[in-house]
Amino acid sequence: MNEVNLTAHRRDETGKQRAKKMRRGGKIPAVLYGHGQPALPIFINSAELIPLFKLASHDNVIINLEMADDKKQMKALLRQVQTEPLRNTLLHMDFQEILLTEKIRINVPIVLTGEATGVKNEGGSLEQTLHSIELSCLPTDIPEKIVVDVSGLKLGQILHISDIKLEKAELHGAPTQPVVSVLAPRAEAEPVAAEGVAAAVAETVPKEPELVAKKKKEAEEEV
Amino acid sequence: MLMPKRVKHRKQHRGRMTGTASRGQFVEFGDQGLMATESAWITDRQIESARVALTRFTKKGGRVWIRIFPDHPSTKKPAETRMGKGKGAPDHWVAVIKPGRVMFEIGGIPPESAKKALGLASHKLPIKTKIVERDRTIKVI
Repeated sequence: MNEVNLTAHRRDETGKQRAKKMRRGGKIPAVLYGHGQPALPIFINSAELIPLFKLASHDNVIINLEMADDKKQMKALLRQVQTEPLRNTLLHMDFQEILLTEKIRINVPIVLTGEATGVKNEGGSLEQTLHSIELSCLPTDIPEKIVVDVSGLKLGQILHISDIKLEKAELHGAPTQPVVSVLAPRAEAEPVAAEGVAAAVAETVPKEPELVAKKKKEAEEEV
Repeated sequence: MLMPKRVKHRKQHRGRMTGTASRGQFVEFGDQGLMATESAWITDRQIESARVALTRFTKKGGRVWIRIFPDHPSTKKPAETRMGKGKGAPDHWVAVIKPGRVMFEIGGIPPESAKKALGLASHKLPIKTKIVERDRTIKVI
């Protein structure tokens, strides 16, 4: 279990313009909440965050947060990270205060190992439908990742949530939800037939969609 | 061609395309995605053309996801018509795209092939794009 130390400073200034100014000065705005306390606006110096975002998974890392003004220490989790979509620069973070003796809900990534026999011998393709899974456990027991061995999967077989077994954590989500499946190879359709189907579909599809109000009127008239 | 099944109104105002995408910023289903770096109206024909390029490249393996839908009507006046006399008739459907929107996703094929396929699809679109991965590295500074 990874742990990272951070120093948080209380933030009195809120708002879009002030947040932008803060980011230009190398400070990342954030918020701290949890345990019935009102949300507290804070900021963290961006240089301190480098080790945290160098980790493969920064979501399930226990953060030792120290408040700069009153030296109060607490454990926290990074609950949400907002980034600028094009440059991937950090905009804002949400921290949730946690107790090491209290169970928490957290998302953990699923990593596949091995080569499925259905892919290796039967020419199928592996499709991972679930990339992370929600589980509840003590903060000290958070796994970095859940490793799922797919080497036994044959063509058409599906691995469900119920097939994943964890010792110290309880999994959430429907037990029948598929995690990974081996799909049969897709047969190539004849192009002539495909074009014919497309032309037939184009003839049946109306040029304009139906109006909601018109349909309502027609229904009223019928009554 | 993609279009809505039912709509409330035949015509809509053009609207504005300021800012960046607030939804659909991440690769959710596949392994790689094609992200818009400019804002534009992407027509139903362009989406279909990009889809065909992606599916033809992937052939047997792999899967393609289309993350955008043309739900905005675009109108056109008939040729050789004088200005005025009201708004033109609905002509085609467009998806309003802002920078940062993941438009197409691909999965189940090697990364090099996926990049080639997405490159082909990007040639069918009227905007500059970039290829993004599922796991992105966040820049702190």
